[in-house]
Amino acid sequence: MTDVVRRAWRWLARTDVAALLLALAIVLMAAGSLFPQWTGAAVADKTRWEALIRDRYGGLAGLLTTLDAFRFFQSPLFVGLLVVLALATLLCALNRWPALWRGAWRRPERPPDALLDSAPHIACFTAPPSADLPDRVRRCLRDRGFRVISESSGNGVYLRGDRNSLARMASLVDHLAVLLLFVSAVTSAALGWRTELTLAPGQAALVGHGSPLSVRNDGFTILRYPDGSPANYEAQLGVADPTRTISGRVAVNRPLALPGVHVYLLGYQPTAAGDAVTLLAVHDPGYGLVIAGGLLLLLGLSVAVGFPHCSVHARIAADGALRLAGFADRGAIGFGHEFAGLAAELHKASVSSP
Amino acid sequence: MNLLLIGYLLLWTALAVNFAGVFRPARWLDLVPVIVATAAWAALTVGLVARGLSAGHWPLTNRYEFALCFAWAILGIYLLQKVRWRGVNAVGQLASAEGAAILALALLVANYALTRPADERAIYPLLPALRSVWLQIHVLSAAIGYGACGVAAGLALPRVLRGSKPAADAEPGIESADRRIERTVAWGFPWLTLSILTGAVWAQEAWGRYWGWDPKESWALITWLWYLLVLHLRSVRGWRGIRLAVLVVVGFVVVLFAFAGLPWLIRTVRLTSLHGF
Repeated sequence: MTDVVRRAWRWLARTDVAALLLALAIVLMAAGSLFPQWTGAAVADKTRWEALIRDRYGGLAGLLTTLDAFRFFQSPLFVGLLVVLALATLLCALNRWPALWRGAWRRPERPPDALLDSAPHIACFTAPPSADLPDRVRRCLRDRGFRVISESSGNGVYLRGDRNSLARMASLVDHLAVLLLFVSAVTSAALGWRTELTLAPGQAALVGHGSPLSVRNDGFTILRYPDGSPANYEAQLGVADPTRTISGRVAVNRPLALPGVHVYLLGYQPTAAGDAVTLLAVHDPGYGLVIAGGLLLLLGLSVAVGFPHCSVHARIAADGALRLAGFADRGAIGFGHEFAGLAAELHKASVSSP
Repeated sequence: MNLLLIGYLLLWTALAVNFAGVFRPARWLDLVPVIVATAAWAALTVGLVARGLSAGHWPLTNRYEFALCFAWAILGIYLLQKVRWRGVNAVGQLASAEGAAILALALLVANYALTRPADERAIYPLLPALRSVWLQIHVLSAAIGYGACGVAAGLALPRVLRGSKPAADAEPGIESADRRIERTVAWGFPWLTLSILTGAVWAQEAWGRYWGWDPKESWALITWLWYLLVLHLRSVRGWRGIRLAVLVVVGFVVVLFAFAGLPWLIRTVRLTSLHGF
């Protein structure tokens, strides 16, 4: 059993499996986008909705309903795929964490010689033996923004320069951000609620779901541009809780923030007594997590794109033989150019030094 | 004369010069199309600013304006790469082929803008729902993200056409097309992310929900997932190179569908969408 779990863990943490799951999500979402989606409003609306579906899809309506085509994004198939995708994201992050952490924080000064010989960028030359060659290499690397560490041994001196070494952690930050987005969606679905209220002029109603707040329609205004077209719609509300009553305004793109609830203006209907307004009271504890997850994702992506990790290793033998090896993330466009410039500068300085 | 039209004509000129460079490579043909494309970008920029000043709001509020910004972004990112990657960018025939492909895609988008009906090109006061700072960030970041997808597809097209043959003019020190394609996708991806995030914030302020599986939202997410797939596959053995280039080209088709094809889908299968464009 443990072996099965271990194999499943490894399989789910693989990048090609993540790609497969993403491809599956794309196909399912494209399929789901072909059908109108039931958003879960009042029962009366549902009766109207079912009539619309029967009218539009005829004999296929029953089959499509059974297949969850009209609630596709809440269907077990789609939600199941999202759960597997979230699990794969978590396992991938857990699997890569130790190696990336070590790579970012605990780097060996002296790499294996085989690594120096197989680097994508290599330069070697022999300089006249000089005690200040390591310092010269160190200075050249520091001038280019590398953080340098060194180690001396019987074979010579080893230097290692790293630039943007923490950028490797960005991928982990992105995975954690995606997990946070999954958590926020679950939080919104499990703990959030929405109530639509249509209030005649002067009418008040509780926002519901156990909240003590009630809102009253105290007036409705249409703000207009000079040409007479609507610039915004605004409702004046009286908001009461058991202790006090306050007044507030709600307009398009400007919800009214109340403790634990936001009130939105959805529409208005002119009546003989004045304008009735349709409001939406929303309690969504997942929204803050969405923002946090989104910002974290942006941070990780920006670091990964803007600050690719590069490293240069130098081995200086006692006879003055200098071997430089460069490594860089695939995003480090132009690193080869920079590495060649570094090697040329060191070579020139070594040859011209007394 | 209309600055947007001047920009459009200059784009055609830059494309023609690039095509000449594909068939008769010459050193001067590396530079001239970039100068003409810079003039086209400048004309588009001034034209968009003038439209924004005359409308009293950012020119990002309908399909016509978005298409103009989209073409402007493709051109801007192409020119930015020319500056940033000086010394490591493609040269000669490959540079002309890549430039021609990128400018052709920019023209495809610009043509879409210029063939919009007159009522879409007219300037109207902003609808109440569009009066939000989040709209501006959302649409501008989408234009930049889509622009990067266009540039990546333009770099990928010659790569796909070349197949497994090595580039004829590959020189030491020049970054491979594969790496430049990957880099462009990776650069555009945070913009796509920012666009979805700010769209979610705007939706929360306007409609009280940050996600509603509206067809436009679904396709924005499909586009995002497509490029996330590309970013994952670049580290999978056997997927780098031509396969990835094909995916990047198809990705731009997905982008175009999410932008220009979706209204057709909504009409055809009779969906409803809260999104005007």
